[in-house]
Amino acid sequence: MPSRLDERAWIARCKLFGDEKAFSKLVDAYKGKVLRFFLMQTGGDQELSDDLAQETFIKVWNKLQSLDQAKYFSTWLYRLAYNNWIDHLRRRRISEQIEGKSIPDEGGAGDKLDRMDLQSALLDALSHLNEQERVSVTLFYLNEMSIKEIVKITGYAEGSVKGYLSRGREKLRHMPGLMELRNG
Amino acid sequence: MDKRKDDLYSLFQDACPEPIGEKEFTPKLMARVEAEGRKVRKRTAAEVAFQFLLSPLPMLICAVALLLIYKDTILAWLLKLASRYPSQMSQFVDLDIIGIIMVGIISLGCIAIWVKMLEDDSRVIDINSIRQKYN
Repeated sequence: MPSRLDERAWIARCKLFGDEKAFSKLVDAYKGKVLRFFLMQTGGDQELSDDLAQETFIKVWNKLQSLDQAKYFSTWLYRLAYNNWIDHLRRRRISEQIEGKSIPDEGGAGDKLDRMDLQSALLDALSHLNEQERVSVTLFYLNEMSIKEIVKITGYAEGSVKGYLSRGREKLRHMPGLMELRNG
Repeated sequence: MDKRKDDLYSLFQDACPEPIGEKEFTPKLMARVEAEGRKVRKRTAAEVAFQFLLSPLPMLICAVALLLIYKDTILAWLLKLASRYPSQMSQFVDLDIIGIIMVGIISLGCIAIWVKMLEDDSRVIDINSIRQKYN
């Protein structure tokens, strides 16, 4: 990870001079975390996660001027990623309604995964969580965000985030086979 | 114990899928950014330089330079002020002090113009993003 000073310098260069090199460094620093966030939401769909991450960074590039304080960059970036994910779900629901058929839930990793290793077990377990629980748990454990940051990213109330995290944890801990696979 | 560093934390760190094509991600994205950049008019070097000249940093340098130039006058004025009553202050207000006050007012004016320019700039960017959305 880059130092906070490096990160702020890159943001300033992007904002002042539209410096694409500085932006590519910023992308390199965050692409892994953003891609993994989307992989967790899409049940491991690499292509879709890649597309959503690309869209997110394009939005970052276009909206960077509206970022007031560089120290909140990561929270702001994840808020854009989260909004992008919600927009994707909305578009998918509209297309479901137009076509009048039910498209399988992207969170349901079962079909895509044929080997039951720890990774696919985790994706499968996450597919049994609802949208809010999955986003909260992913941001908390994978992206290492605090509860206050999750509130800023998602717009949920603080009590709700705590509830989603608690229920998400319980569901994951009681998922048959997941913790056993982890321990041994 | 930190709630985050529990068994689920290590599970997420160990079992998170590795993104495929992470290496190609940045070049692909930068090609798109370059294409987006062509749509939005970039500020010229002269615009950036002009904006910098009107920013608070050169103002601060000017203020420090003025303080250094007038330091003897300011010091003498403060010493006299400390030893006399405020009612007698008017006799020490000479042209130097009026000059300092005027420079201060001009600096504030420049800062106000700079803030206004930033506002206008953000409005231009908003219009560009709206155009992009509807094109």
